Amino acid sequence: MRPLLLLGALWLAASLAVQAGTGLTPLADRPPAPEFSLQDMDGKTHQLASYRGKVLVVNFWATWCPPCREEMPSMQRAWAQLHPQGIELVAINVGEGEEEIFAFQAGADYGFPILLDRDSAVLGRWPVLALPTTLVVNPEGRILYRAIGGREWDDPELLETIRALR
Amino acid sequence: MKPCPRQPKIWVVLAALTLCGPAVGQVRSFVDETGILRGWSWESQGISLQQVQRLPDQTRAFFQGRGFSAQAASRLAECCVFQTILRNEGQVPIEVDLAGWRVKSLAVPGAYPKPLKLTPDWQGDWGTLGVPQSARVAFQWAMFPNRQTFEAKDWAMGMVSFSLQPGERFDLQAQWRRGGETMTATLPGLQCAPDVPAETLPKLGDR
Repeated sequence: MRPLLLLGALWLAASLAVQAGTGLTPLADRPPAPEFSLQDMDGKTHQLASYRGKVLVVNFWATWCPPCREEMPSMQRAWAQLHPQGIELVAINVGEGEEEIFAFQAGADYGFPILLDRDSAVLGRWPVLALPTTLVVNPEGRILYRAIGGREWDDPELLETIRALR
Repeated sequence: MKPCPRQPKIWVVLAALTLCGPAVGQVRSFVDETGILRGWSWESQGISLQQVQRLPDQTRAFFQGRGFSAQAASRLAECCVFQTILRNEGQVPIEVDLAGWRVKSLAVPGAYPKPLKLTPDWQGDWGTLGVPQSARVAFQWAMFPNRQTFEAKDWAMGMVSFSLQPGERFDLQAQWRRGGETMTATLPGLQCAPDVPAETLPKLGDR
């Protein structure tokens, strides 16, 4: 029994090390993702509940935040790969309005929904202390991974970690 | 102001340690992409800390653009604001609490290291000055987080106010916990940006 336990522990450690290498930190307590109901740039309402059953990547950002701006193109490339495979991505803007976001988007074509958390009420309920922060929610609605700071979201290893949650 | 050399000088500094375990790191000074602002970086064991000057006018413009009055924006802008970037490229998480950071002014011989003025204190000022809630939200998220655990590859960027006068020189004692140990790194000889228009500042040279 003991060798099996040891092997299991080694496998878990190796698995976590690989995930840490991608820059996605596993959240040990897997907290339930707090509900949100937010409008996108077209006024359409998005609720967390409507994403239940799918892997959902939730990015918190602002236009004035340099690392947020920097990671957006790689997030678009990641979305282009993940969306056809049934994995969703939303970018929740904190504290700004359509004008600022529209100006930021000029020339860029982001396929994923950009949601408006104007008073940061949603942000306050999620485990976020800095921008950008991105969280990965599993189909059961629990937060499995967090990344604080910008990432190259189309990194193959990182994408594979997200795909593995389906 | 002494112009910066074309190639940034590199000093290896034994981080002078005062409070807890010393963190020996490499300190480097550089000129940012504007060519007029100075930055300082510290790096060791996969942890890097970068401090870049912000002109008071930059900070005034940023916060006035987000709903601050000129008076409120100036109060912050004139308190030596730096852009802070901290990265954990190591495999061990680090816990950062700005309450443990200290600044030691070099303007006064033998000055006592002082704590930073953190966001809860500033938010008190904004309440008194009637800064609107939306502007206070922008402030909260534009500042470097007071307390944050940085897991492997996590990093954050945000403003920090050192509550010193424009142009004042100081040593920064930054602190974090790693593997149960408190580590302190000293970045010596930082300087707050002067309160002058950007166009009056000389180019400091190549990065």
